[in-house]
Amino acid sequence: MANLLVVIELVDGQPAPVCLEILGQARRLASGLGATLFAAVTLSHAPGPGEEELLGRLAEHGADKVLVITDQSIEDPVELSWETHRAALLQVWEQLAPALTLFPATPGGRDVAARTAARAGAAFLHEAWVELTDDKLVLMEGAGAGARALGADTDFPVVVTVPRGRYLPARGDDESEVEVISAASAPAELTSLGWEADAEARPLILAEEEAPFAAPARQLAEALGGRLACSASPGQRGRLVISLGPSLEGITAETRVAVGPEAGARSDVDYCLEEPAAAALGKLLAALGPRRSG
Amino acid sequence: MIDRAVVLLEHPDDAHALRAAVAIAPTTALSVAVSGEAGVSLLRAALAAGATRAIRIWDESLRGTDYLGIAHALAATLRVLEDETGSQSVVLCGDRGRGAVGPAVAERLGVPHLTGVTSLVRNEGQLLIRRPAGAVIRLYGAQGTVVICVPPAGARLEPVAAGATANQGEIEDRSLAAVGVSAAELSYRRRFSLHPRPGPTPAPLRLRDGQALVDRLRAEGLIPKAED
Repeated sequence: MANLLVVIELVDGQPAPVCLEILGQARRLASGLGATLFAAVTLSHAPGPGEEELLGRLAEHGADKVLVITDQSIEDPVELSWETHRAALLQVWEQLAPALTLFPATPGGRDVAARTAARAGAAFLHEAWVELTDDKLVLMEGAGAGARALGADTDFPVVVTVPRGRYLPARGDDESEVEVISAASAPAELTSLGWEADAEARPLILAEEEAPFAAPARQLAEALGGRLACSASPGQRGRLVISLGPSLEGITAETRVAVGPEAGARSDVDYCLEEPAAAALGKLLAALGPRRSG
Repeated sequence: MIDRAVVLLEHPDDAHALRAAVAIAPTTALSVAVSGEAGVSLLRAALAAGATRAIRIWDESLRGTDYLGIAHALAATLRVLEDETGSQSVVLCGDRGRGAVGPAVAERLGVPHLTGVTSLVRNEGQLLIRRPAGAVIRLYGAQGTVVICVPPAGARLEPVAAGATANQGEIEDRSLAAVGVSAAELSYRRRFSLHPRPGPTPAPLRLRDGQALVDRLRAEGLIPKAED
């Protein structure tokens, strides 16, 4: 029986939402193919009472088995990277020899997925579609007329990244088998020199200067500790961009959001709120609650 | 100690990787699997933009091979260059879209890699690398060969006609055999390649209301959590 593996990235100790979506689609694939679905998560320590919710969520979202790889050299919390997670990932991969390995298409996932594929000699797809058609696995990347697919008979391992919002979460059993594996830490190949604040990590709100909702847009930017602009600068980068109309061309952003009546028709964003910006802004500000101090 | 840079060019959007390389060390531009005039034009543009050397590897067996076939040819070329020059290099490539070739080259070479790098500075033979990670920028130091993947930013490489600028340098054409790679090794990887097939069109995830959006962004760690 084939193994499917979903690599879980954590945010504040919980699975990133995109990983639960990927787990959901992998659950549907595994059920259709008769495969076993593994979810792998890396921690610096053996799971304790503080990790019960994490493990429970992975089971609830469809994992047959949860692998917890402990690596004392990893600081908690830390984003996925090859430099820190390679020992854990390779240990799991060698143990399971999965037919299909799914990573989130996040900066961390992208850092490890292609390297994992290369180590395994696997095929690799970026921001993939992973579907069952006529009981057969169909793996594609790209979109519309420009899409490309793997050949029909994939008798070799495949590694994919999957973007946020592409699939829906699923329900699984409330419990699943948990196995704890201790990884042999790999020596650091790069010298870690610490970190510094990233000024471009602040959320960016884009709204036309003369827009009637410019004032609440400014309030939203302040509430998020972000910036307000009427257009993007060429080569601008950021973690989160919320567009109330202006184009996102030229921005490299981890997450893109569009707000407005036509937001759902945009192909350049990850999330959308399809309602007039003025009304949406009021609801966003209400949902954010009292402004943080400092 | 790193005293050379090699930039892997596949596309005009790899210009940022080229600029980063030229800023830190004498740079060799290397193009593999870009056939015909497109490959030549890319390397001409690289020379005009400051590369001191340009090398082109092309063979029909590269057509249709996958990311790992290309990485295999690139890694073989990089080893040959290291043997010829007797020095270690920092290897830079564009981090566009798939971002697969850079990490695969690093795997073939057995060296570390970093994706999404936004800043690269050379200081007395050591590299200082900045890479955004969540809300911070992590800093790394490297003294040996490392593969650095640089997201696109700024102007693309513009085509340059032959003879358009002075001191362009010559483009060195090398065969696969010259770098120790056989056509059969690349042909094997064709079965892992992707083939045109019409597919779905991505659509954004429709969130039902502002609360749902706020909840999602908080769960992703992109905005602060609610105050207690």
